[in-house]
Amino acid sequence: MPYTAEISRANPTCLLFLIDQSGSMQDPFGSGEPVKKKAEAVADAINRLLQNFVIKCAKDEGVRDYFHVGVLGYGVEVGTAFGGALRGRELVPISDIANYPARIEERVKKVDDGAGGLISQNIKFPVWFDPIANGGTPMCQVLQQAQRIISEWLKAHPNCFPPLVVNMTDGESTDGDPNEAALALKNLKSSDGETLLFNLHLSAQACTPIEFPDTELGLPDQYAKQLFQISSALPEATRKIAQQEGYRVSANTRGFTFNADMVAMIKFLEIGTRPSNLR
Amino acid sequence: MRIEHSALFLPKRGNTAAEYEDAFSYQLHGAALARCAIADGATESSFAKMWAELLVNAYSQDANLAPQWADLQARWFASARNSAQPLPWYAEAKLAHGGFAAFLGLEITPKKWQACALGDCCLFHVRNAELQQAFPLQTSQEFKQSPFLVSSQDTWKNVAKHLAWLENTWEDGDEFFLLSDALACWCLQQHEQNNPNLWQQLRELSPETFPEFIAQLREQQQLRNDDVTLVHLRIHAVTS
Repeated sequence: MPYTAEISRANPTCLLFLIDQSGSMQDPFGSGEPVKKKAEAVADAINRLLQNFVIKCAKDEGVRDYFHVGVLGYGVEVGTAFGGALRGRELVPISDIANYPARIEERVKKVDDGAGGLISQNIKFPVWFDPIANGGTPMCQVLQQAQRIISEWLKAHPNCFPPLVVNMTDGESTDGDPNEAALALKNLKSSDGETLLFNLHLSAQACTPIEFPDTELGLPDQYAKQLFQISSALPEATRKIAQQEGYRVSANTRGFTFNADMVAMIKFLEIGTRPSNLR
Repeated sequence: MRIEHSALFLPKRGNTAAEYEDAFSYQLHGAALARCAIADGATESSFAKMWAELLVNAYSQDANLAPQWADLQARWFASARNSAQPLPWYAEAKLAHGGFAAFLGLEITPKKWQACALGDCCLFHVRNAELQQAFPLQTSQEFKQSPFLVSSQDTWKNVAKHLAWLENTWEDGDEFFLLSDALACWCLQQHEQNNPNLWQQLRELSPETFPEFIAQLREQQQLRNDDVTLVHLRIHAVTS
């Protein structure tokens, strides 16, 4: 059965994030208060995703390299978006992501005090990306660049759990219909299955978040529908995990979310027993 | 009563022996009380092996974990945080999540036994090569990727709420197998397929044959690649 290869240090897989940095990302995101720009929401999401991936892979002795991670930004330019010590690198072992954030901020988090109240706790908040919003949305171009990177990865890791490409965007491609480039990317495969393309759509529209739908009916606009269409269906093994996580899934469920919490999807990548009470 | 006991274990394929995160313990308290426990530290938590060991050792000493709970939590945290240096941000965050383990304890007294469990480590009570009871999971379908586990950050009240209990009587020659999840799941599958030699096969395994047995099952994809632990007990009614 495809999509069942073990993700291990000996057989790692790769995650590639594509971040829309176009001018339209200046627009407000959803209807939340305080008003956040889409670019801020994306930077926040990618920072939290990376944090969560690092923590997922952290063990007693350090961080285990179950994943190699890349981030491409697309706006005025298309290219690697790491800052600091990782600048210019395409795919980076997760232990390097852990050890080389651009900076670590101190933030205050409200946590349950165990007696019905909340207490403030200082936490370290590593940051790899700051919001950028400038230029067009060359989605076709970034998908082509992703295709080259994934293709090289697969040559070196032919039996890996298939790579996952996560595109975070407001969906308004300015260099043409991304369908063909997306298809070419999804056609790249390891012995365990085809590359997965998930799309996390951010919109200014005030609408209930949509997570992993199995139909485009009910999606609010043409961009959402287009992104749904180019998103991979969740493989059977991943569907089972999603189901255990409480999502309603069917054979047509796609790796697509609309204005939703994007961090949830890290649970879909299995590296061993994950306690259900680990939050 | 007299109890024969043996334990076999192996790390996940690709991991070193030091990375094995199950734990087990067996203790005899005089002639009329024995306790045995196994625990399986969760891959996605840090210092899970340490937590698993603390749990099995505490239970083997005293089956009542409630009064020991705060001390266990403090000992886990102190050992995990055993460094004067500031921890990297991810180690700090991981530590705050806590250690997680599946747990199974078995207490044997004259004529009776009592078990408690949380998670997917399983007990099999076998009489004359027939399975009497499987606990806490009864079918291979019940194994999940994300079970609820014993957390070092949880209150005892909440842990106790999720603990399952079972007690019954034993007879001369009865056997108990305590298995961590991968092998427990395989056993239930074999039982469901009416493998008549299952228990004999497990009983006859030795430290010499166990690695090959497990390697073959993994190779044939019958057994999920995970740490494996098998504790076998056989009770005799009379001292000899």
